Amino acid sequence: MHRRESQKTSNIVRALCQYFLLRGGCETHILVQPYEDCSLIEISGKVNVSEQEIQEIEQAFNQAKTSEMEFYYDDLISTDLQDNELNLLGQMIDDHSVTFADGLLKIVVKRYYRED
Amino acid sequence: MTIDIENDKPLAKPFNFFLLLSLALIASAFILTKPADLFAGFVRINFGISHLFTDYVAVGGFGATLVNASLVMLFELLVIRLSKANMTGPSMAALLMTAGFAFFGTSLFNLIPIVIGVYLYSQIENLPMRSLLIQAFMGSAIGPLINFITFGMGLSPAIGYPLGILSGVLIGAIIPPLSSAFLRFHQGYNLYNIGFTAGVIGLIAVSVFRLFGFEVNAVRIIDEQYHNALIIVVTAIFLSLIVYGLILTKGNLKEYPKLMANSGRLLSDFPVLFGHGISFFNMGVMGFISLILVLILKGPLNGPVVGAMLTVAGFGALGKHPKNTIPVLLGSTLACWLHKDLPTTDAIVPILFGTTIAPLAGRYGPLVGLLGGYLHIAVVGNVLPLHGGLNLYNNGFSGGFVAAFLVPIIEALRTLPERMKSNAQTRISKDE
Repeated sequence: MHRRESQKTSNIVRALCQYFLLRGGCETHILVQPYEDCSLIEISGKVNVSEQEIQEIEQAFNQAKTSEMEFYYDDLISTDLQDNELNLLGQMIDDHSVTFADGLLKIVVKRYYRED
Repeated sequence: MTIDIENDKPLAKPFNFFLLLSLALIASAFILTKPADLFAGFVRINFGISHLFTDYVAVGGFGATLVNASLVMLFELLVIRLSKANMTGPSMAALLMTAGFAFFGTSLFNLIPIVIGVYLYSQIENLPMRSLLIQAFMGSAIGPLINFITFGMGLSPAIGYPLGILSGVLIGAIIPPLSSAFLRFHQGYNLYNIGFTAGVIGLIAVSVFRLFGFEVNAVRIIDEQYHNALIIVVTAIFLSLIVYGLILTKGNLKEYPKLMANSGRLLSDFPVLFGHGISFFNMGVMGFISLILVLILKGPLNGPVVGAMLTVAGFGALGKHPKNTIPVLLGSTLACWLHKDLPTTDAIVPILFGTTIAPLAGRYGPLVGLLGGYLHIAVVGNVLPLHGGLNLYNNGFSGGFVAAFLVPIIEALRTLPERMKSNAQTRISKDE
């Protein structure tokens, strides 16, 4: 994996991890699978989130991917997932799934590497 | 979902708007001014010093300034097209911002070398040019450095031109990594981040110049005789933004309250988040807010003030909206009312550009915005001598310091009760 892509993947992981921790995640499982053309990140754990927050995640992740902004702004998602960072994360991923049942939140995101 | 301009997806639409706007500006220039005068004025604008405040209306005339703004926009549109970039919020903000600064400091002469430098960086780093357009366009903030080396150091043209242009290319090549690094300094709460970057470059450059005995000081070349004509120009631009926004949204503005609920912190790409119809509408509203404020304060309209108004309007696509901007404007106005000569260009310009820290009000509320605006006026005049006016986005330089200063303090205060409660519980547990 290219150094720049590995940095982006680690930024996404760090941001998602912080999202879970800030919402009371006491046992969070993270799986990172780098492939030849993409990275798959799976994170799950018991958290205190409302239905509205789940909808906000969905809304943010459904945004169009605009690769133009990644080089410049991607480091901003490494602080904590509040405010526009969720939107920023949404702009960096290509595919996602969010499930929430019995207090267990599972987020799977896929990011294809940049094509020059 | 990936947006692709080649497939004529929605984000390609604004391109034609900006193209038409550029053509309208150039057509107006030819109607108002004789071609020979336009050419002579354009030459004076491009080939002379350009640091703060060099009002191009005073240097080259009203028509030539419109031509300059138009050509800067057309050149950037060409780069956008060649790099196959989408017209996102940052691109739209950069287009209007640089068109605004083409009224006082930005010209093709000092823009092109920086774009070439950024392009070279993209080739070295194997990055697509479309990912560096913001740095390429807004990097023109430090353009006056090129003019200073070429025309302001007393060098012969044979040395001055190559040295100035080469410096611009080198600066263009260092702006991308620097701007990314400085973004973390203020955590995205200063919208004119490239202004902060350019400020640091200007600071280093001017320090070196002074080391070698070259003095760089801000200048004040301002012409206020085109006040009414400029009101007509900006009104037409802001009105066209609103009308285009209403056409795209078909008059449906139900998303606008959602846009105004956004903090505006980077990256608030309004066209991506809310669509371009609402974004264009917001840009027009922001433009009119700035125009109305200037008229209420009985301020003059000249190159720098028009540049500031176009910048405020441009960032209506990237973070600014009435709710997060008005508190900052009020704070800045209050500070100027108490401590400065209010209706002057020197006061009006920082009031408008102070909205670079609008996300502070968006995130932490109007009182923080008010405080931020007040502090901005205090800081902005003190950072100008550091780069001698070579950084056009001096307010972005100041805004970076204000945001970086306020955010950690506010965050600490905001979370203090929660942390105190947590600490108290920890102490009780230990005692037990």
